[in-house]
Amino acid sequence: MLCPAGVIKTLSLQRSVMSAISTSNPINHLEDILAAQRTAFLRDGPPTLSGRRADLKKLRAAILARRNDIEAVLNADFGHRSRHETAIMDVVSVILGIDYLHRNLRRFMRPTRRHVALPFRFGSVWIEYQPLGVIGIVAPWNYPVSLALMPLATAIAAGNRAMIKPSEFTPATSNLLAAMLGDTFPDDQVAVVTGDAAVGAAFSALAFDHVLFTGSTPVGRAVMRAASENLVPVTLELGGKSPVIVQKGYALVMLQPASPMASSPMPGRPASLPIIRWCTQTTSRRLSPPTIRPSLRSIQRDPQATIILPSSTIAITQGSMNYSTMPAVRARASSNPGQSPAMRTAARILSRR
Amino acid sequence: MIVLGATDEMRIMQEEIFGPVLPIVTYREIDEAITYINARPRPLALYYFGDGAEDRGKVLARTTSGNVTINSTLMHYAQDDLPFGGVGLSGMGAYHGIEGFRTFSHAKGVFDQGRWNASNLLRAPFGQVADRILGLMLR
Repeated sequence: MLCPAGVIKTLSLQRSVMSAISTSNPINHLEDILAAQRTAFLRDGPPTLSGRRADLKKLRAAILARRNDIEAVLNADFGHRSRHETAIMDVVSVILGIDYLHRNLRRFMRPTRRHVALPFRFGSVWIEYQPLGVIGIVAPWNYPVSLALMPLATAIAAGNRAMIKPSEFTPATSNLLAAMLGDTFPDDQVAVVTGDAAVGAAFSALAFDHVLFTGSTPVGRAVMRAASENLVPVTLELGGKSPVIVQKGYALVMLQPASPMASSPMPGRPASLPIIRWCTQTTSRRLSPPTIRPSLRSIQRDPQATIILPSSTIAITQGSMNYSTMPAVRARASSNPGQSPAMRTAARILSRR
Repeated sequence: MIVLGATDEMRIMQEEIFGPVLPIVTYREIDEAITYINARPRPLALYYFGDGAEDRGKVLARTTSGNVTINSTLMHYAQDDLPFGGVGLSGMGAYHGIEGFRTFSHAKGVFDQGRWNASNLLRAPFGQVADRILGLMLR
């Protein structure tokens, strides 16, 4: 796998850091970091608006400076992942999220006045939003950057310190995150700990002030069980099945990939921006007014997707299965599926190939 | 790959699929689709493709999912001002938006008692004043 020189440098740097850490017991080490973060939190008190904004800016700059590295390590971890996919899903979302927090932080932090109970009318009542302390963040492998850094940005905005445990299935990304955040923040503010499931279990048993876990329902259950020992509140972003309902009268017309080179850029979604461009350009003039959307392609971005189709549509789906395996366009079908404009268009496009 | 006629016993319908495989089930009336969804754990996201207000409204009102994206998928995640999270077996709590800020904050309620307040009048030894105030409050 080809990596830019910058990545190799950061990775080897990280390796030396990691080997230094691994000489001590990694699980005791976790508790040391937590203790250091909590001590620092109590020592410094809640950060000010300008302090939090400065931290968000630092994080933003650190991500942008390593954009190419991020794209490279995800590509390495996934075997092959489109750098555009990474830029869109893992980088853009975090950058825009940081900008949003930066913009709205003053309003979020402002104490809110509340209604005073009648017998106490000369008193006043308000809510102050205090940072909780140290947040534990457990990130999964599918969007390993944004699902680690967006919770981190939110935790920083709310004035917290954080420890992150990235997935062991994306080692290059985890090392890059550790190096990047290690260069950007002191260890007693933001720390990344890497390791296998044993380290993950020890991590989720730490007495954090809050844990945010993204991953599967069974592991989420184990995290919550471990957190209950210290009554640590949890936010769980779990899996399951996400239904995709297609309204009656709408068909998903499937077209063959235009190029055998368009392989899957990442597990979790199939290929092929070129295909979409190809069929969009070819069909947009003919399929109007119905809008053309790369719907199946986008559906498969979500690993939890289950399509629920009206049964009248299934004839079209089955009909076009002969030609096709992969994504394409949405078009309005007529009441007679066999004669639908969508089918005719699909046939026309396919015969032209 | 498209999987038609997928049933609940199949692993494809039980686990997350991180590959180019899509299970498909069918419905005749929208109520059938709603019943199908409600018979299963509450999803992290629900996606609706179509422009009909009636069926769409029904799906929105009668199903509970973490988030909904209409005519696309996953892009609710990219909406900075929307809380992102699951419900039921798809998770608890949310981040993004002010909900995210509050997830990582403690909302500490503070009451500052004024110099004048009724509770000063509700102290032992109780007498007529207390009775009158209680009478006023418990009308």
